[in-house]
Amino acid sequence: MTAVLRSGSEFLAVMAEASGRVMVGRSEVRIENFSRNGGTLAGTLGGARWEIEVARIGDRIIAWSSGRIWQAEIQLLPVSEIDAAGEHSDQITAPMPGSIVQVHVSPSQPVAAGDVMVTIESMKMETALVAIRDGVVASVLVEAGTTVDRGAILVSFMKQEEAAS
Amino acid sequence: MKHILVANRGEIALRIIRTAHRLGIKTTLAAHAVDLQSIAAQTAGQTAQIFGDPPVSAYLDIPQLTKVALDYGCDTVHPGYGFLSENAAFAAQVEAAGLCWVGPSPDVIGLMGDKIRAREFAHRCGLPLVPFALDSGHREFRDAVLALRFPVLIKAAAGGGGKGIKIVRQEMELDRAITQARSEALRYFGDERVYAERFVERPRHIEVQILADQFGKVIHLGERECSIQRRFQKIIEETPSVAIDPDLRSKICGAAVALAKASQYRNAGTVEFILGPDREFYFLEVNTRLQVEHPVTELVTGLDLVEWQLRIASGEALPFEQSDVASNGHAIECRINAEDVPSGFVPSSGILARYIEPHGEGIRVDSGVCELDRLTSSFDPMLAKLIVWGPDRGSTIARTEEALRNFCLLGPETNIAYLRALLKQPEYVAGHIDTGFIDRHHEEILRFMQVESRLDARVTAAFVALMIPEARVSYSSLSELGAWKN
Repeated sequence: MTAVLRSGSEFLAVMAEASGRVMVGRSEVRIENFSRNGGTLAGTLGGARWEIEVARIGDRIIAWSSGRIWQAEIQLLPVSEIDAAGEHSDQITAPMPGSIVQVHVSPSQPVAAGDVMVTIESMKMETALVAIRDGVVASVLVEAGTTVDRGAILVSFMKQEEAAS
Repeated sequence: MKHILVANRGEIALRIIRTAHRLGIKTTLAAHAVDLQSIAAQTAGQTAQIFGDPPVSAYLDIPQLTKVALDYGCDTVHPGYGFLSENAAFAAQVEAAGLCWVGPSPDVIGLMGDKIRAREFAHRCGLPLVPFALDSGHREFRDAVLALRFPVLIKAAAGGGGKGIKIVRQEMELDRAITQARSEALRYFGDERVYAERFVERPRHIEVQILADQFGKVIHLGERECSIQRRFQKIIEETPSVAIDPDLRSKICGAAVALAKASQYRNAGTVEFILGPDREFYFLEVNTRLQVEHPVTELVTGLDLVEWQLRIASGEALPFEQSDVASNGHAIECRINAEDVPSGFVPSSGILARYIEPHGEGIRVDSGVCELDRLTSSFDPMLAKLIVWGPDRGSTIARTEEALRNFCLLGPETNIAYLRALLKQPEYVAGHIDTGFIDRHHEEILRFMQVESRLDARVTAAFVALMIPEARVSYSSLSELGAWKN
């Protein structure tokens, strides 16, 4: 499973290792001297010291630092389904039947591994479909509101040679 | 006075309990089941459970509260603010039961609580009134209102707290406003009488704090300016007012003292005025209780108003003179509300997941909540009051802004970011304020707030990822993820 943090219309896929190495979307962030004391998180990022107060209420995360606030919902993503869709083919397919909530990419747009491409709702639960490798979008076959079956093609990538040319 | 029943809840209950304990007076807190775990309940000497559904009805139940006071061996009742604090029948019942009431006599509460009688009384004492019209049957009232010239305010005779007030700018809105004001007046105060007064454009709300003992001595503690209001409810108050020089202060405070003397006022009270841009002031009403915003006066005078309420109620004479009261520096209070401001100041509820108060020189927080409290919509949305002192207005605004920045309150939506953005408005800083300030600047404050208050999403997400188990991966899989990058 991968965690996706959804804040308003913004989606960030995050994966973290205890050492402080974190993937946020497409980029790697290194937090030095990370520490956690109850709801207080601290660490150094690019030389700057951060202290963040965090509260978790169910799947809702609220973070605060010096008067600034960021809120997000935690959503879990079944990674294996995405692997099947993305890693071994040039398409992203629906991992389950459902309805498309939002399409985050458009044709000929370059995407990076970790970018959220499509959000799909099934059984009243939203799932974000994340690109597993870098590429360029060839075509988008659905739009918000489209109902799809499991396995339906949602987004296709350009072949690597096409993208390079 | 040995034992007080605190007939209130939240921050003001805690505020009263702390002063009572400092003076060696025992306390019993009347608390509904939803408040039995509150910080006020934990601090009180004991709690007496009161019953009611909805919970607010327990705090409005005169026979029940009087019985609790007697059953728990109290000799005094402090009503705080709101609820029954300005209810003459409650004061009378408490006194009839042989208990001491912390406040003016029931007669004075009754006089000042009836806004129409209070105005007539103030007028006889020589206080200036805004031209007004009394509700004397629909046709006559309508004609009288038209004679006032628009805009006018329609208000509840038994009103207070900004409820039941309508502003009318043209004749076509008048009938509807009168009907609505009557129906709100009936709903909130059980009395449908209304009256109208001419709306003074760009008015400042100025009020004077008074203390009066039972021997007829009345002292004022200067003014407070409470012009920053939303929907006729104050959210920022300060003292002294930038609009008042020593000459005007002596006139307006003198008027308040004269009214208190003429009415044989006893205990703490507040005389409210509106002040026009032409420096003319008009009597508004008297609040026969402690005000929410009393702490700003405490910070500049060094007096504990609850202490003086208790001393006066126990029969002590005020031992100081007007000339002994000095005002030092400046103080600002911000009301921290659980409310969603962009959606129109809608109350917000939920669990108070994180609660960290600011600390520092000149900073005081009066609060009745603590971390993990569950906030209900049963009561007022005010969570805490931030009160800040500084040597002058500029430094006090800066300190207040910083204290708000350091106030961490997570769970419900709050107005903290809005208050910060408001304090940075050049017109506020310049002191160009009146009761229409928020209406005029709301959109601008919201825009400023939305830009200023957003925490860097990617950095925060990285920290959050390290904390939540769902995002944790083993080193090997993260190494593979590293290959995502170009």
